[in-house]
Amino acid sequence: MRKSFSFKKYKDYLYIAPAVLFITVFFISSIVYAFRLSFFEWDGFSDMKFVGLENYMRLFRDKNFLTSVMNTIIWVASSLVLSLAMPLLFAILIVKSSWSGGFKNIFYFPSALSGTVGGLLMTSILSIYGLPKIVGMLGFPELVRDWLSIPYVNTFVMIVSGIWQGLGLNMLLFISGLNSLDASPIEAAQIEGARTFQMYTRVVFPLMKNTIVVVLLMSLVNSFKTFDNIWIMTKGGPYRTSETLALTMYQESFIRNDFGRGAAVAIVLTVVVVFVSYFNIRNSFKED
Amino acid sequence: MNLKRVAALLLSVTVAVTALAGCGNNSNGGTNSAQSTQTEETGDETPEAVAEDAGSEEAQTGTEETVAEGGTLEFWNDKMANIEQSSLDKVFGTIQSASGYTLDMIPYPDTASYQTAMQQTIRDEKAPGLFTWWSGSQLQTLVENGLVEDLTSVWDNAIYDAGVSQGVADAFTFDGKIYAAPWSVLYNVVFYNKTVFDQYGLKEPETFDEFLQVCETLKSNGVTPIALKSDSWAGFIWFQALLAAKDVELYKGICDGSIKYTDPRIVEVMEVWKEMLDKDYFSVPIDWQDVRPSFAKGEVAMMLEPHVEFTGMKKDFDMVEGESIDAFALPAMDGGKRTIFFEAAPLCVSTASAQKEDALKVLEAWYTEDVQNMFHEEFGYTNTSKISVDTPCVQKILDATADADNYQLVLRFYESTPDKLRDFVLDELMRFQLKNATVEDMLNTIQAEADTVFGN
Amino acid sequence: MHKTSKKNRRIINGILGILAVIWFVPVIFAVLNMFKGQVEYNMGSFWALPEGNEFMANVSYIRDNAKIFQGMLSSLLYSSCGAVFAVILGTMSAYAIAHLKIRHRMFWFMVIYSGTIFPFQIYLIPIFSGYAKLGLYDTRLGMILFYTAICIPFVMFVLRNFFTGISREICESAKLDGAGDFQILTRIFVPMARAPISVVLLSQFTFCWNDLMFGLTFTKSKEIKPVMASLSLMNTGHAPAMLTACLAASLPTILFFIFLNRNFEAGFAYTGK
Repeated sequence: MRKSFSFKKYKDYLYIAPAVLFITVFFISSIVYAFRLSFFEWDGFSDMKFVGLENYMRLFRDKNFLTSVMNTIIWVASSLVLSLAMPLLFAILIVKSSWSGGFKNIFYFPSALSGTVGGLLMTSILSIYGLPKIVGMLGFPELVRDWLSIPYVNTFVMIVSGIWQGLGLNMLLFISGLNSLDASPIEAAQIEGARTFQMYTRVVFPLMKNTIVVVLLMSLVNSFKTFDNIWIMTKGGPYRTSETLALTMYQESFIRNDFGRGAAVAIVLTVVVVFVSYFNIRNSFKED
Repeated sequence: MNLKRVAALLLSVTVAVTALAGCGNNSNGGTNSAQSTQTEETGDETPEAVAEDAGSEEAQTGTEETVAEGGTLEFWNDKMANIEQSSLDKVFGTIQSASGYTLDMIPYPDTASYQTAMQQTIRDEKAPGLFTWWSGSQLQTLVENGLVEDLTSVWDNAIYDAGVSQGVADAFTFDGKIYAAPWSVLYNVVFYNKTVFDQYGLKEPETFDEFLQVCETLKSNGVTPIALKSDSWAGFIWFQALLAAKDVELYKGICDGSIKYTDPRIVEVMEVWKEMLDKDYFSVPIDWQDVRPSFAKGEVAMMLEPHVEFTGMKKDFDMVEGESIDAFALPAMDGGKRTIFFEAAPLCVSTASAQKEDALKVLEAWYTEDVQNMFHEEFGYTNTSKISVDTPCVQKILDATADADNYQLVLRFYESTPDKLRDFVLDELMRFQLKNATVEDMLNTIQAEADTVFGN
Repeated sequence: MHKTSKKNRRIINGILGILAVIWFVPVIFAVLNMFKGQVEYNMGSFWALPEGNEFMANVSYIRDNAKIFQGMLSSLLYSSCGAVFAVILGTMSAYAIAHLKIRHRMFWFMVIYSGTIFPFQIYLIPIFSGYAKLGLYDTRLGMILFYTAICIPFVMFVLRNFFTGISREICESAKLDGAGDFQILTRIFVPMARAPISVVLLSQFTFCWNDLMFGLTFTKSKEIKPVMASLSLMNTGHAPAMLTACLAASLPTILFFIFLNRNFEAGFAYTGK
């Protein structure tokens, strides 16, 4: 009697138990490990040495770390435009075009390719003999150089080239969101004579709030962790000017064998992302 | 439901795939894989046959061929850039005939994967018998923790006799013991596009002034004299070359901290470099992917690279040694000995590995003539002096490395300077080459960091 | 959606047409260069038409130098199992967090969601060491478990947001008809969520298929290594062969997209049943 009572009470938790178990075993344990590591000095092979907060102190005195923070902010800010606004715009246009299936396929296609393929294609196209050469032939010979090795400019080159592969998934999410919209409020607004722009800002976007929140948060989190694109194209160079936090973490850990310091970068990054996500998520739970 | 159908389809495909790929194999996990690959590798003598039936590798045709008596040795390798599997198969084939061992190579093209896998297995008996590593401080870490075998006896028995220079041994020596054998020994030389040189009547420079003359002529004809590459580690290439051209003792002093970066003699060399940069003798640092075609097309005339690029430029750009491409060592500024910088990638044997003894045996066969000839033929490596080199250009460089009266071999900056300081210096040098720092700025900034590292 | 005038539609078609051409340039570039030889590619212009047809030579180069076929079979196993298991577990947890009576929903949400927050590189060392101890290192099971775990958060996140949009009244009335929680999930929620489930299934399958870092780290034998790990061993100096191999290795994700295509536009309207 008592047993079945408590089973009933906790039955609902069984739905989340497997997922929580997986995440705890694989990922939460990893971050706990990294957190511990961040208080140690460790080269991967020798004994670990406890250094307290030294790894963190050194980070905040390091100007490369500050550059890396700045670059991360640039990636995050631009992802708002490029991963949120652009896919949304594409989705709206595609839904309204006369060949939506075809357009959708074309714009999604690059996302089905692997990052390695995309990186390979983009580095070839961005190399001197690719796009810069064409720009040069169009009458801008001073632009014929390796764009990816110009400090601070290269970050923007990479952000823009990332659109090609980064657009597809978010666009799909928006298209499926748009297609599942309840038609009646829109029709009502149309009858009242709302103009196209107002229609979107006042009726369509609020209706799509859930999808927008998902895409926004995923893009934010992913842009905080941006790694693959940069690693393939510039490895964070020249002289560490295009590093983001994820790259700094990788460099410190695996290239410079300073695992404690790498872990400290990871923890800083995690704290920031948790902080940003928390406020976004809290809103969506409040209205529940 | 459609979705259910999709899921069902995926899972049934999966089951089919598993059955096809022989799932029984993985039930024993990692321990089994060494044996299962063993049967696979025996087909090595007939690479075409293996390639033909790539789909049914489990049903290997070669199983009845006897496995050589030595068995299989696991070999972890992260030095795979620009190396083709078919070339590796040939090299490993000669190693097998020389040692009786089949090499089971596990390639690691990514540093993080390699670091992780090494770190987690090197103390275990499942550690690879043989593996490639990085020289300098990273090798030192392994040595200090007692993780790699002392290979001095292998050097005495086999490696010295094959004609590997003492400098290479020194690069792997800690406390008088040699802890690694060379996977590759690369000499950095100035490559030039011979077609371009011929076109403007230029010859290999005999003195440093002639070298500057060559640059000037090229420049005035609209050819960029020297390519710089933008890789973040590449900043030291011309730094070390110019320092050693002035005086190799300056270079050595910088590396061990006995000479300050702000020393007037260093400033003088940097001013020479600055002038060359200002005269546009160097390209803007560009991606390696762009350096090679620019050089092959003659838009850039020279590049300072390891001598294996003879093989690379031939394979990828069809440049023929002696006809369209050749190389020389940078002349010294005072006309004295020229310096050739070398780098050596270490092969190590892990102490904990169950295959340690096997690895030691394989290493003794590694430096036999047949094996090293194949290394040369396939990769362009010239690790030992007892190999037959059929191209005069490469032979010329090898002769130079053996000619102690006119040339000196020096370990490059990357491994010679403390790694804590190294990365800092590389960044500053790259900033300087991108013309975002003055000579004074750069040297002062570096010296400030050097003071903390060397503890003055 | 509301109606669009003919003129507007034509403008939209035009804009998208131009963008589609731009989007296709890199693909054309890739296809063009698949037919070139190594030296021809390196020495010539990227944009030039191939002089001969070296396609078959490139294919046989791949056959000799990269064993991608075995890798593709392995990857198919890992990606389909990983994606399907993650969708099942993710859907269940999303349903629980959105509609069932559990306390501290936000806490549980954050726990599962946290799997996407941490930089992926920190997983390498702890998971490797755990796998080595448990005998999961270099096994198919280990790969499937890992990919399942890493796909769960995204699935849960997308579906939880979708599920909160479904009104409670539907559940209440189903309950009155005697349906249990699980039946409500499978009979009502899942069919309604066909479009988002298809999207997450596709995206997670693609993610697993394209993953390089974990596949490379947690495996070592040829028969366990996923396809991207085999691909990454190819000589990058031979760009035409590399491009050919990359596109071949991407075929399954493209086919899977086409296969699921119809589902993306399914909305509430289809779920009247």
